[in-house]
Amino acid sequence: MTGYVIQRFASAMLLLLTITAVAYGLIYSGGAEVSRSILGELATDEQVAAKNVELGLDQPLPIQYGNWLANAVRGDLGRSWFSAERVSDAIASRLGVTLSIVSVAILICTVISVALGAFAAVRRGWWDRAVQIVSVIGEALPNFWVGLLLVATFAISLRLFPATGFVPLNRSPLGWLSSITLPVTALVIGGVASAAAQVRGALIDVLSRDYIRTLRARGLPENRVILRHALRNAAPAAITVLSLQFIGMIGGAVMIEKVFALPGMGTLAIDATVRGDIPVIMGVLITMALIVVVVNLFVDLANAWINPKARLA
Amino acid sequence: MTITLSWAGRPTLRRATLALSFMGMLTAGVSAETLTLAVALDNGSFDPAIVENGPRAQYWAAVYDTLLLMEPDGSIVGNLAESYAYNEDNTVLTLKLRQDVKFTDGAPFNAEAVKANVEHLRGGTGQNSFMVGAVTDIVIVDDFTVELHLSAANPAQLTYLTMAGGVMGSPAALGTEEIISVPVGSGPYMLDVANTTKGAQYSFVRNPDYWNAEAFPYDAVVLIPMGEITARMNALRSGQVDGAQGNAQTAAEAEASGLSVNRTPIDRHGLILADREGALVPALGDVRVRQAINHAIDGEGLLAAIQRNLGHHTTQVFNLNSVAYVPELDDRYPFDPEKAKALLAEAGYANGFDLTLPENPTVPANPIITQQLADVGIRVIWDKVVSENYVTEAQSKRYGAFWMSLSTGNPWWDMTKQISASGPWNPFDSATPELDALLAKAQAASGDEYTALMREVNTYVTENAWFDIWYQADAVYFAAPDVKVTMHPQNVVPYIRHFAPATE
Repeated sequence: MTGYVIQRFASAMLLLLTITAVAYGLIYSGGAEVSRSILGELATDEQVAAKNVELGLDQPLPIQYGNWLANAVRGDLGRSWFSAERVSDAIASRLGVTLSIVSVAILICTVISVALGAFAAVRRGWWDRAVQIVSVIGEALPNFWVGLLLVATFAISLRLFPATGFVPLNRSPLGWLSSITLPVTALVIGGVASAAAQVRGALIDVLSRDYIRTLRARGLPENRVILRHALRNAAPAAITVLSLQFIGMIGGAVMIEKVFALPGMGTLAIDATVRGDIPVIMGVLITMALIVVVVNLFVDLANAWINPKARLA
Repeated sequence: MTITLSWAGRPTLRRATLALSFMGMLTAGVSAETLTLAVALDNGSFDPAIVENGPRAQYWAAVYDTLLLMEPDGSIVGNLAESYAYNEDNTVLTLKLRQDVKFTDGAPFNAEAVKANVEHLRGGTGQNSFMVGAVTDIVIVDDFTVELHLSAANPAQLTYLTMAGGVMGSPAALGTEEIISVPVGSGPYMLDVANTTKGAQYSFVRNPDYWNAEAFPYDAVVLIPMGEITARMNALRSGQVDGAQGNAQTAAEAEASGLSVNRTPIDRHGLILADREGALVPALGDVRVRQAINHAIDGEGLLAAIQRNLGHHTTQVFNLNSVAYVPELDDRYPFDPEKAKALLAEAGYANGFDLTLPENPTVPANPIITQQLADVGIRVIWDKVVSENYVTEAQSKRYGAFWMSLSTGNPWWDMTKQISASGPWNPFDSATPELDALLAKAQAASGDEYTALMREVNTYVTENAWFDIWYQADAVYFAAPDVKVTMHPQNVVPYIRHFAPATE
């Protein structure tokens, strides 16, 4: 198991390195004239040249990336080129928003999708088809559109929830709950659909196995067969799917944050990308990449722990 | 915030609704004395050398005062400087300062403070350092009198001092790390740090020592960055915010929702026919060809189709409310393809010519331009350009003409941007002795003489078809019915002082 952990950790590091290098190259080619947009249209060429030197933009790409990496490894992500705010501060104040909605959404998603999936797998027939149809519809609806619909109904017409904004949990727990309800609902509607379908598939697969037949033959109550044995064996597939959902939701949250004007990572990433604010873009990117890597690592380890055969992978 | 229960459900449901509405109220934190606005951009920095005009002006206008003030009619009056006067040749500006002003850290506002601020802005790398770029010397006459000595007369200098160029921060705080996030000014409000989260919400409370409190009726101000127009609209319609920047496309929806739609002309849209010598596109070197383009494109039609008529058809680069504006010139280039063809034939281009334009994918007018220019024989070839790089590409001298939208306001400032040979929007550095002479005279002039000369400048560039302007689009600002908004004549959003409770 230790060897496995080390191996996974090393590959995660390699992945991070690759992601940041590729991203730096891509952004670099896109935003050469960032100095002018920082200084404004009436800046002189000399001022622009001086700013390029100050930001290190006069250096070749590999050196720029090397400098960034050397600082990043030491935990210094630099400052925004536009607002001079520390990138680490900018991320710290926004990460909580994104994680708030995504983690609550994934929790709710887990409960609902396991319940729906299990229900469909066990009942089959008419119920099964209904769950599948609902799943397909849920998946087909773009989450920002669902978000807009929710706002129009519950924020503007009924005025039950705020249309926009985020209240930190430590400022007002009720306010926090109220502010994340609509965004979380929008995320869950899309997420539940595909997760429920996966749970259903995995469970049907397990239920058709010989040992389940044996358990039933030995007279175990059906509840026990499903809860203790079938669901447990379907768990690895469900965990994998939900972890993918989690990562997908972080991406989906970008649109949701826009619709609800939530000051999260997505908003930060979009604003920085539009301006060509490389330190912020890289900071957001490495944070997101870290989250993805950690979630994957966790899922791999969890699966390996549940199922020793996975350790060979 | 008022909550109306427009539906009468069963008692339990109604109670639940009330409880949840209360939750909503808690989160919004809006009271009658608080002005809550959504701002299209997040604040950058509160450093007075970095603060910006445009949508971000609302952030600094809450905490900083400016030396001078622009009235809604565009006239300039005293503010922190009670009065101002130029010398004979407009190169020395004398400012008499108010004597009863303190910064919120207790430091006095005086001539030293003005000097420190002008030097800080001029020496910094902010977008608006050019606003004091002409100031060579700052002479302290006495504690409350200061002279700004200019390298040359600048007819836009007073305007600059009403905007980001006139923002005064506490001298002790200038250049410190803290002022980036915590402003120290002498303005009507102070940042309420405990209730502020960068990127999410900026809260302001009254500055108890402010000298001009009656000009600011609200006890507190909350500014919330909201990039998406949809989100701003939802926040307005649900009563979360009292005002937000809108656009032409959503104005009808806003009106239908009972919001006020406030407007003022700001951005002029059209083509910059930059290669006036024909260095790159020989045809553009002929004034008749440039005039033909003006006749070929239907500016009025574009105004209706794209801007939903929230604006004004014009052929000029200067603001409709500026002294340089000449109403008659708007009839100079009526939409007339036949006339365009005749002019092209006269210039020797009866069979038209190829014109390469950089294509900004965000400009909805592109297909219309293609069609209308094709109708008179000009074949447009579009070069695909990434929209973030559009400005660089347009200014690169790789295109003889290109689309551009620029904000308008003070005519001298607008001239500096696009008519002056060194202006960023005059990439081929076009200049003629005649125009140079006019500009030199206008620069030193003032009053009626300045007005007459700027109109001549305007007439010159319009007659010579330096541009093909279609229309001036209105800045659009939405507000709740209980808020009265006065538009700033030269900024895309009103300043904080332009908001007041509506009185019936």
